[in-house]
Amino acid sequence: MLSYFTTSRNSDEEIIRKLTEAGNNKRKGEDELFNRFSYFIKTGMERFHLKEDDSFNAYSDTIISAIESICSGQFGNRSSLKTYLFKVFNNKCVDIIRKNTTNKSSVNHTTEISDVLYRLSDGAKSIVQQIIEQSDFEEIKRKLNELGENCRSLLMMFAEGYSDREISLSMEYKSPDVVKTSRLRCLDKLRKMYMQTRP
Amino acid sequence: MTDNLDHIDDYLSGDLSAEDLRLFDQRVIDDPVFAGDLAFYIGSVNVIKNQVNEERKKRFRDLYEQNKNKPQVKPVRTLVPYLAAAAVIGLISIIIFMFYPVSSPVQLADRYINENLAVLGVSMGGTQDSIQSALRLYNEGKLNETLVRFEQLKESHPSDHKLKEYAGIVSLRLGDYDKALKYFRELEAVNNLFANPGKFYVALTLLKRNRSGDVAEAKKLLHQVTEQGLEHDADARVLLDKL
Repeated sequence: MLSYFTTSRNSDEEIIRKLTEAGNNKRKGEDELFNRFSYFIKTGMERFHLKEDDSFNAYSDTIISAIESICSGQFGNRSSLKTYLFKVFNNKCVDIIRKNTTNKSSVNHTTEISDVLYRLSDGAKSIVQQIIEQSDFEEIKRKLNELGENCRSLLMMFAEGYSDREISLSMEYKSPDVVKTSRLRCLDKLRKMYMQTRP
Repeated sequence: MTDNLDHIDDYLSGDLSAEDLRLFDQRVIDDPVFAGDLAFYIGSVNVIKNQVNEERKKRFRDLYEQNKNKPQVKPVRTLVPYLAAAAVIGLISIIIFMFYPVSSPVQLADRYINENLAVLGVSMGGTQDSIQSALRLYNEGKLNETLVRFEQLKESHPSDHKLKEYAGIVSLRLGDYDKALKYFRELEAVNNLFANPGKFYVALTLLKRNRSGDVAEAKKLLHQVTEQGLEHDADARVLLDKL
């Protein structure tokens, strides 16, 4: 009976615990999660007739979405990681098929931004969307790489979904309020650097 | 500028009251600098998030390439452990069946919700992007945001009855049973649908809410679902067997 359990796979709880920690442990947890269900990629190719690259992308996006969900505490007490991931993976595969058949290449990017703006009225939303459409994201990316290492790490951790409290513990700031102030200063610095390149 | 960012940060964290939200909205419309700051904040966080994910994807690609030619490490499956497990489960089931009552209504409802409603399917049909986007939020566990979306969509598309079902399901997952019942009863009252799951969901919500009289009412509705062959009649039969 033991043979069924002889592989070195970690339990769901173990992976979830690592993902909610900072630093190397989190990275290990991400890699373990990816490896554990990587056979989904083959399933995507067989069941949905996706190309290997497309199936890989669907699976990677599934893992990234699960990491975000777990880190932000939204995973809760769902069934098992496998059941949850497989359902999300199925949906991602369907998304890819839709994208391939309708050529909606930018659908994810647009919906991510509109997700953030959902509380605004249509008028305000359309103003902000128009400004965002005129933004040069590649330039922001370049300027982000020119930002000091501390600022860059701070903003990356925030974008990864860490709370100010978690960042304060991990990066040894005095308090979450100090993190918030520093984070907004870094964003302001990034904005000034970006604005200097604008006509 | 940092004052603007501070205010924007509060908006994005969901920390603003309804009145502050209204003022925030008005300021976006009236003040182009403020709107620009909001657009920059959202755009740049999105850029940073994409960069984090690109780095993750590169790492995953390396892992995948390293492991794909290795023989797959799969659990060794022999018949003996399965038979042993089946025997143990069988024995336990008999003991439970003989000596203990079956699951409580709340446990049954929980099990159904976890197994069937924790993730909602994405349709391949011509469903609107706004609905797909709300479903994506739901599947990511952002239930409060999803409910706001579905309620807005429901207002603007009163004839789309699927939105009543979605709004009900999200309310049920959020534990707002009275609201869930309101949406499911609205759905149940629609009489021109090919398949109407409203009655079944009302029963499921009553099982979960479990106030005095709820279980009896739920049983009555589940019997109606099975007798009339309504949507989810097979699920209703399973629930009734266990109640």
